[in-house]
Amino acid sequence: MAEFKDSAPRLVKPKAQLKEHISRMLGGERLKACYSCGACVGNCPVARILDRFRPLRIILETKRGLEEELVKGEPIWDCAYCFICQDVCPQQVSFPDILFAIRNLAARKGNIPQGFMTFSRNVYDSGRSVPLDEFMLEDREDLGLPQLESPIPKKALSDIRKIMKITNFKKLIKPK
Amino acid sequence: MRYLFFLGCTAPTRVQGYELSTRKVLPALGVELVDEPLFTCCSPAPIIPSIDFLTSLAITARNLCIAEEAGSDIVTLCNGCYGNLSTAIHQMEREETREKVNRILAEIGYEYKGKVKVKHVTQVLFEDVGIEKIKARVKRPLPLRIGAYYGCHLIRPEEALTFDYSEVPTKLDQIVTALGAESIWYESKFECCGGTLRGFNDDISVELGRRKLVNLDKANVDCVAVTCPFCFLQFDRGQVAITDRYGEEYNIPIFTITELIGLAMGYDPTDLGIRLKAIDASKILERIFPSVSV
Repeated sequence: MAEFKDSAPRLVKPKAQLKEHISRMLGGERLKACYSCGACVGNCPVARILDRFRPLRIILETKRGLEEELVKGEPIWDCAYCFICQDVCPQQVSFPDILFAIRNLAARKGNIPQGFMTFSRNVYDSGRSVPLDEFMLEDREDLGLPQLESPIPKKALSDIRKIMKITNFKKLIKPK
Repeated sequence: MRYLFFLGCTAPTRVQGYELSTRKVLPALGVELVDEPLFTCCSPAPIIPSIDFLTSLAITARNLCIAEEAGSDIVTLCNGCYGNLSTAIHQMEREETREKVNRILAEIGYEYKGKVKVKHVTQVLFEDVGIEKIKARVKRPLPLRIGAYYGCHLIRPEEALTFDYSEVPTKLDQIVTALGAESIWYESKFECCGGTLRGFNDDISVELGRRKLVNLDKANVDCVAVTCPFCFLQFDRGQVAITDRYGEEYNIPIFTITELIGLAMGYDPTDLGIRLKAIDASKILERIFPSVSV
């Protein structure tokens, strides 16, 4: 009798921690309700052009507790946040919210894509995600549009900087 | 009708035609727009909440508090701002979440009470102005086949947004039709344009934009009507990127809905900022103003 060889990948021992953690987070409550129907994958415009991105796979990996693999990997940053998966889910699971929770874990481990960093620093520095330059201000003047303050008024800027400090967001984005 | 005008970051800096035409069209239709310098970036999905969800919610809630103190509802130009502010309101309907956010806001002297409404420009046009009034103000019916595009954050997630049904929305099509144009069906009409990944993941973003333009081209539209500065950039500037990358040329002019309403109401294209497009729109203008050379 031929020796039975198991070529299937070994099941990693589930770590319940991640699942419990995400389930307690805002928007993550319905994680355990997912019954793997795959409607999120079938309707996902990114999945159609990118093999490595499958919302359901990320949900299953979250349930299995594969935190390291998730937070270090690239797929968690592929989502376009179009919210179609949330609207088609028969179980009212909000994949976009679950993904936010996973990305927040990744951010705390230092995995923040450069573009996200730049955007956030712009908001910290000027209150706007698109910093105004003199060409934009000239354009607005030529078009007869009301002028914008840059940075935004002092009180507004100090408000959002304070928020970013209280929540430790500032530490994550390391502004100049 | 009076609204605080939430400009957002992208429209006033990169899609000024949208802002300009809105400032012309809405007051002419009886909607007063009030500028509010204390508004900051709305803190949109997917950027800031991806790093820290609660920070993002607090920044968004602060903007809502400013409107509450002013006693006015908000109108946004951008789908991103609309979706993000509306989603925050929805999330803070839950007491536990609202308390968490208010503990942060207390440190800067604000409290979110849940008294403010947020509407998108398209929603104000549909709900406050109304189709009949728009129709009555059309001086030059648009003899055009238009591909109306809602974008994502005007309609999804449906549980948080109040504008239209997310599966088959029709309100933007109704506005387009009121202008005398034909609203053309095209494949993947309600799918993402890829705008949120623009500048973050261009491989995916350009390809998503391209797939939509292929479908719009197949449907033989004259131009596209959008409601969001990101969709505008994705389709307008995006066509240049598509030509660079794939050597394909579509030459489909992109308009914001307020630009089209302005043209139909008889405004001069210059006053609406129509020239601020990467894809030349003069062939469309020639059809709307046949006797005038533009």
